[in-house]
Amino acid sequence: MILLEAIGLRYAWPGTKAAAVLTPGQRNEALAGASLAVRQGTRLALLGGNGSGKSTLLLHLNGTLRPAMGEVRWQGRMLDYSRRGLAALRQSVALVFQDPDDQLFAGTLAQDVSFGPLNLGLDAAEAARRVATALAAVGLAELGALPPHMLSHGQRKRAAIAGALAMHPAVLVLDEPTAGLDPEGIDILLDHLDALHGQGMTVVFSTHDLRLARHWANEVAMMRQGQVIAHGAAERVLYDARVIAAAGLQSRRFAEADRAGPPRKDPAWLS
Amino acid sequence: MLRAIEACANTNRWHRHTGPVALFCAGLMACVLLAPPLAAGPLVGVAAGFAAIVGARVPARLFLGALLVPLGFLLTSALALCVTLGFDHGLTIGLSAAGAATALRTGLRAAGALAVTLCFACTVPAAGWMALLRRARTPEALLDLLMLVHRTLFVLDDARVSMLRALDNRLGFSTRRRMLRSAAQAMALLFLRSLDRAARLERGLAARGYVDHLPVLPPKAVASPAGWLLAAGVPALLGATAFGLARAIGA
Repeated sequence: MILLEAIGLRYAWPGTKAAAVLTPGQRNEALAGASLAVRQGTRLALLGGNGSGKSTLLLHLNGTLRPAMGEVRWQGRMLDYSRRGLAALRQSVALVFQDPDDQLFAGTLAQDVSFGPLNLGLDAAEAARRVATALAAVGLAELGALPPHMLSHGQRKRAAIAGALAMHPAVLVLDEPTAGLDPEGIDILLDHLDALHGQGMTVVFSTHDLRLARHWANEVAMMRQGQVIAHGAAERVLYDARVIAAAGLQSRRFAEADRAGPPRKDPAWLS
Repeated sequence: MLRAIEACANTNRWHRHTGPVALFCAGLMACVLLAPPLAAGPLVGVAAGFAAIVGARVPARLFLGALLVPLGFLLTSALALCVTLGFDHGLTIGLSAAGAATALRTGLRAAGALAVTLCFACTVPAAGWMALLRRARTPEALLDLLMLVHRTLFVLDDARVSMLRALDNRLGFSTRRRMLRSAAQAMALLFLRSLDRAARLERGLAARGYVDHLPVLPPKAVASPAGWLLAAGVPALLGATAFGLARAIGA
């Protein structure tokens, strides 16, 4: 069942319409007819190089941005961009930004996580229960009384996810969730995402890390120049060399190194 | 210093006792403002320092270090009050006994008030005093603004630190002329960065359902009857002692 669908989205960020300053081949649209379908229960990776439109597309999925052309559908119905419509949508589709400082604002983590539930009109007791559950789900139960700036980047990322989880969304949308995390931080984050997906949550995340997509996604959409150029099962899309090359995700130097195989002998500094 | 005080406010022994600590500090402040300064200033200053360092376990180095800079300003201002200038027979500079007395009274009062303010800053976290302001029926819009400014201060401070490091690494502070230019560039860039940050935060809050208000749960706070009693009793006792001492020394 398709939960969320973007159809032919076009969008240009304000201030980027000055076509006169663009060099030939450059475009001024962040999205140029992007379409994407999100199925229930999927783990969808949105892959693409820098500037391919991944983040902009994700911002459309919960109505944060409104497309200049095209439409977004939630459970088959066009998004209602009224105040009430957006409030209802954001209860179902929660977005976590790449930079946690874009969304953490309150004096303590617990207060920050309570923002979403209180916006849903829940009473203080229910909001407090959700805060405790969400913080525990991302392993930050002990740090709820601390302000965001006393935490590490990885902890702030998880706090941002807790803020989204507390709204009990059906779809969790994450923009570059592993950016800036060390391998241990990535493992912790993926463990938590595993648990959430196991509870039936649909997860959509953007990345340009092929290994992450291979490891964690069961479905992949590939973006290039504001369009989705391929979408399908992860094992099919991720091993299609032409698609990977078209999306600009293959480093030429790494590819050459891969072809050359491992070094024949240990480098001198190792001996 | 900003971060050290913030960290201390969130981790000191009294960080959950925001109500009694706020009452204690308000009482001390009233005492230093209303009682005769020659007695109240030192008494309140010592009490505030003792409460912060011994009671709340604020590191002494942090407390005294944070006092130094404003005390320096205070000393400079007090010295200025002690001096008289005359122009009757050319420029003459002299010491004024009346000015010195005023400087002593003002300086002691200000130093006491400073110690109380610092005691409050080091022991009550921002979320705590904002919750107290909310209970005091401060307009919500003002509280929202306070919360955003408080958070943005730290986000921008991160940006400031990285920016200055980057300029320094490229020899931006190697001469006085370069230092001025780099500082000006950093300030201009920080202004632009703050606008960008504000736009991004607005988008982030919109994605979480922000419309026109930032509702958050109040932080967990604890208070015991003994705590309230101490918070009210100690400043009252100090006030009475200050009045008694002042009468005794004829101040």
